[in-house]
Amino acid sequence: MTDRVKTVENVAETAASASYLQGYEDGLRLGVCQAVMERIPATEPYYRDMKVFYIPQGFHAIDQGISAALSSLVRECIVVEAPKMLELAQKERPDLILVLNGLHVFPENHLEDIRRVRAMGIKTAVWFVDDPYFSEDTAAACTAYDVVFTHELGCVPFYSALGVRRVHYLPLAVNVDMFKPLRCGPEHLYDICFIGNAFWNRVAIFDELAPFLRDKNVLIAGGFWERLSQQDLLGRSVRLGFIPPEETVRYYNGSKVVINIHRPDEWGQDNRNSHRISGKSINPRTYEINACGAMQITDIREDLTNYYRPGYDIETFTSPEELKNKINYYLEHEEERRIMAARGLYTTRQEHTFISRMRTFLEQF
Amino acid sequence: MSKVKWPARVPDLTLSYDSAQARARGREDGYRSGYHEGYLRGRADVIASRRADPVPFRQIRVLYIASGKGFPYSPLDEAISSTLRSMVAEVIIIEPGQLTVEAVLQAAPDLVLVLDGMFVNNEMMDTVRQLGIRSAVWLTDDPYYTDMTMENVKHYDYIFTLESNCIPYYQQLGCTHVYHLPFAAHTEYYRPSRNISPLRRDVSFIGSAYWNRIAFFDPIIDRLMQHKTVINGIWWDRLPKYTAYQDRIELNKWMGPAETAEAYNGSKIVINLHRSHEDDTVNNNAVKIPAASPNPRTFEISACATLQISDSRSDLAKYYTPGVEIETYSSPEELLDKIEYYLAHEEERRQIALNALERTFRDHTYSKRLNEMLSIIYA
Repeated sequence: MTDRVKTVENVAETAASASYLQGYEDGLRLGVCQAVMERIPATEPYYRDMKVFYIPQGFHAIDQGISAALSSLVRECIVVEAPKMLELAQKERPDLILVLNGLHVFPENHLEDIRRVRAMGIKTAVWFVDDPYFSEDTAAACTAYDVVFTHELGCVPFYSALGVRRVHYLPLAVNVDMFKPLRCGPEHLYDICFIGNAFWNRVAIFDELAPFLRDKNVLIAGGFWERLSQQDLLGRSVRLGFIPPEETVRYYNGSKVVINIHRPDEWGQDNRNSHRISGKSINPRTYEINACGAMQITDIREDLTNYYRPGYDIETFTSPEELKNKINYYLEHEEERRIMAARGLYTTRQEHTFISRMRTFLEQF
Repeated sequence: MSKVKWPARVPDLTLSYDSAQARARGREDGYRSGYHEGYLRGRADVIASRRADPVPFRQIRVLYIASGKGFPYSPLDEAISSTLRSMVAEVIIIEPGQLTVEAVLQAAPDLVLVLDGMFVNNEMMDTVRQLGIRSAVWLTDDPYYTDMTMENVKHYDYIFTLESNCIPYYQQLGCTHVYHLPFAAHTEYYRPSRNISPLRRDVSFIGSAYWNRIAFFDPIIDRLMQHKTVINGIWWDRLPKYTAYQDRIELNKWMGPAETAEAYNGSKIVINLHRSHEDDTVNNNAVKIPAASPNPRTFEISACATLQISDSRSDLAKYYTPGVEIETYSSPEELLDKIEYYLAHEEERRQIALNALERTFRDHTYSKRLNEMLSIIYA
């Protein structure tokens, strides 16, 4: 070998040993995740001889998760945009129509269309997944359907009081085809990550933690983060604007600790909760973070313990100080972090997929 | 540990070969190798951390007589006695020289269990029988020392041999309770490592250089050493080309179970080549009972989540399914071909390694074996 070739080989070897460790860490995490997923017991097969319409809300990840789950559980599931629902129902005569939310972008005559399909003898159901933040709107819509499902425990008595005869609590779940463990590039690697809009309760927490976060590798992504006061400390960590779920998955996967903070339920705090119903249920993000095999620290909602075991498969905080201490702890304790994330993945894949939720849903019909 | 020199990579000199490219290639290679190691360890760790099937607890006192032979038998003694402790009310451990009538009376055991029995006074075992105490021996060197064991077995109630081919011989001698009880892996030592390996080898062989092994390796040693191969064991200086490769032959390094497990863990492929039952220079097997059962190494390698390529013994498929949980060879060429195939096909290598691990932790542990033994004695 010439000297030049030797030098070049040395350069390659030095570079190789430096990146070996990063490769090892990534591989280890995904290997654990893969093994965990392989241990999940197969669920009993379930099948309903039904034709179902699914009317999406436009929540990409959730819509996909629900329609894929329904397709695997019933004879036929057709995804129909709200404006076409009535016309297609006349042609296809489904047994059941499931509307997701029915809010925001739905056409004005949607509830009228629902009345008409009901008149055709078709069962209709709505699943409110933005409760309690739009109670002003859902209150007006709920009685139009045969059956109301809400992901919010606190909303069940609310809809009953409004005269809905069949109200069911149906918690959210996760689209595991989208939110899953995967390998991501260096651009997605962070110590700490939060993705979501800058509601004021979130802003307050990050402003308070700013001195602690300033020297860490942090991502704060979502809308309205110009609300932060500590721009000089956190500005470099903020990425403004909507992050599509496909990219969110990569950030969750690439982050050592992922923070979850529920949005405020007090009326007027960026919501339309004029009926002032308190939020007791966890957000979809709770499931989504855990489904990526990521370590999650979340604030506490009343029904969290029905879905996860704090300290076992999820970590919780009740104050910025506690959040800070736990972030510190888990950044330093890699093994504990990995174990908790793996347990969170296991619980989620076993119990909180849309397949298991849609099964519960179909059992009501 | 001595510094190991790997064979130099042969670079393609016709390419423009600047150091930026080398750095990029190095980074990519490093990341990929690191990823592969991490991924395997992650999966293996979850499999190995699974809770084992529970075995029944028995209210009996066992007097365990160790082999008395020291290394390499002492790890076996430790594996058996420590596993037994978790399965029965009491275990009293003595060396063969301590076996006296007083010791037996004092221990007042329900069962005297002997490992190997080569140093045990057979008359003492007759006394044990006269005292009405059940006795069992687990023969762990069959068929290599059958000249001695054929006499010893007559003095026990229950004979367990790791070699299925020995069963008819012992039965012919009038023993009525003869059973096949193979080795297992002591998973306290032999288990996948949780951590990044300090060793990064392609191929390992660990074992003494019996003449059959020299004859096997000599013709292929050059091709075998093209890879990052390390051989460990005594007598390897018998190899004609020993001096050419002595930097990667650990001649006088005795390795205990922990170190051996580390070497298995740090190797992509571990070769297993059983000793010959016909080698008169080291054996006492005048009747030339052929060996059908796999050696302890078979289980120990598989417990470390690495790919084992083994010569085929007729019983092997009972323990590991070839092509799924283990690879086999019947010629030096086949061994080399398989080594080269699996070094180039990491996913296939990994799958077999993980299958082997899963099978070992499920079926081939000492608690499974001892439970089988006690279930026979206390049927």
